[in-house]
Amino acid sequence: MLRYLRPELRIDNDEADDAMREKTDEQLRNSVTTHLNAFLGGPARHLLRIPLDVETLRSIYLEAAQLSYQLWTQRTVVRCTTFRDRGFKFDHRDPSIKAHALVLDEYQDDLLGKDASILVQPLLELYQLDEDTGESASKVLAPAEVWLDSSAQADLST
Amino acid sequence: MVGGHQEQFPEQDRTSPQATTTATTPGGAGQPTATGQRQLNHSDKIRRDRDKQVQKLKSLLTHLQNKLCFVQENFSRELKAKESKIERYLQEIKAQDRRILELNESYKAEQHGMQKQLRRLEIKAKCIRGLEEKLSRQKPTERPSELCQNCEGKEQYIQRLETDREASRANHQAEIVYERSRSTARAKALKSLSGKWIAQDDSVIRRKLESIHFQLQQWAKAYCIPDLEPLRSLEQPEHDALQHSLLMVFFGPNPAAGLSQLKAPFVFLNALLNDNMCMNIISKPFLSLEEWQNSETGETFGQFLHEFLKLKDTSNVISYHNLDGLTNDQ
Repeated sequence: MLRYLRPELRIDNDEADDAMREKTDEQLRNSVTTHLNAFLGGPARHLLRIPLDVETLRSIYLEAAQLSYQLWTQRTVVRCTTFRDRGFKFDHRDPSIKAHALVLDEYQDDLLGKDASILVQPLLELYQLDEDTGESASKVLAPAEVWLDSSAQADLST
Repeated sequence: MVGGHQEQFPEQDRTSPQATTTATTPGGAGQPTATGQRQLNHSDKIRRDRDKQVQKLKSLLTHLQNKLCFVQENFSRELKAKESKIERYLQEIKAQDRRILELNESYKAEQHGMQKQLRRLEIKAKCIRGLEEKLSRQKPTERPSELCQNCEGKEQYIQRLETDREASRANHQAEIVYERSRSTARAKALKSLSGKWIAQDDSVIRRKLESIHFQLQQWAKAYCIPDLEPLRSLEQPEHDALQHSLLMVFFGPNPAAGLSQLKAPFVFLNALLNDNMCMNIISKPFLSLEEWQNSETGETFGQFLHEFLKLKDTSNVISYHNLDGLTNDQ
C-alpha cells in the first residue's frame, strides 16, 4: 500500500502516478510539520533559545521521514526502543548501546553493567521476516546512545 | 583638581613629566598654570577617545569572530546535507544503471527467442510448400472411379493439411503473443523492482541515520539555552509538564547527577528531539496518512491503522505485511 501511495520516480510514470506521489509527499510534509510544531510548542520550548532556525530542523525531520518511508516499504518493521519499554545496562562491548560523547572514555570499563540514566538516542532496530524459517530476525540500525555519571569513577581514581 | 587627575590617570604623569613641569609657575609652589591645565585636559580627552575607539574595535572584532563561527557552522552543516543528497542521487543513478542493464539483457533474450521462433516457422512453411508442390506434381494415372476416390481422399488430405497448417499457425501466434506478454510482464516487474523499492544496503541506512542524528545534535547545540537558570523561574504547571516529558528520557532517581549545568540543556534537548523523532516520525509507517481525516468520526486514517496494527509488537511482521497485500487486492 505504501508503494502504491508513493510510486517511485520513473520515466514512464503517468500523470496519476506523479499526482499520487506529490500528494503523499505533501501529506508527509504536513504530518512532519504538525509533529514538529507540537514539539516546539510543547514543554521542550523552555529548553530552546529564541530565535530558532525551524526550517533546518524541519528539513532534518523530513529527511528522517523519507528514510523511514523507504524502510517501511520493505518487508521489515522498524522498532524504536526507549525507557518506556525497558532499562538499559551499559556495556561498551554491546553493539546496541554506546556512551554519549560526554561520558569519559577511560572509565567505560568501570561503568560496565550500570543503569543508563539518560537516553540521548533511542535504540533503532530493523525486524525482518525470514521466509524460509518463518522467524523474524533483528539488526541494529542505530545503537542507543546513553549518558551515565562517570564523575564518581573519576573522583575515585584521583 | 590636579591631585584628582593624578589619581585618575597616574600613567600619564609618569609618561609625560614635561607637561607638569611646563605647567608649573617658574618660581611658584608647584601649582599648574592655565596653559598647563588646558594641555592636561586635552591629553586626557585624546586618551579617552583612544580608549573608546579601542573598545569599539575590540567589540567589533568579537562580533565578527562570532559571526564567522556561525557562518562556518552553517556552511559545514549545509555541506554535509548536500553531500548526503549527492550520495543519495548517486545511489539512485546506480540503481537506474542496474535496471537498464537488466532490461538490455531481457531485451536480448527476447530477441533471441523471437529469432528462433521465426526460424521454426520458416521451416514449417517450407515443409508445407514442399507438400503442396508434391501434390501438384502427382499425375492422375488411376482409373476414373479410383481417380474420383483418390481425388476425394486427396482433397480430404489437403483439407486436413490446411487445417493442421492453420492450427499450427494459430499455435505459433499464441506462442508469440504469450512470449511477448511474458517479456512485457518481466520488464514491468524489473521496472517495479528498480529504484527505491530495492532494499537499501544496511550500511547506507546506518550512515543516513548517523547523519540525521548528527544534524539533530548540532541543531540542539546551537539552539539550547545556555544553562538551567531560566528553568528555575518557571511556574509550577510548566515545570511539571517539562519534568513529565523529560521522564521519558530519564531513568533512576537522580538521572542528571554529574552532568554539568552548562551541558545539561544540550543533553536534555538532544534527548527530547531524538525521542520525538523516533516515536513520532521513524516508527510510524502511516505518517503520511495522519492528515487524511475521516469527516464523520474525526479519526485520521493513519491513527486507525496505527491502532489496528499495534506496531510495537514485532510479532506483527506478518500481519502488517499481509494487510499490505489485502489492501492492494481490494
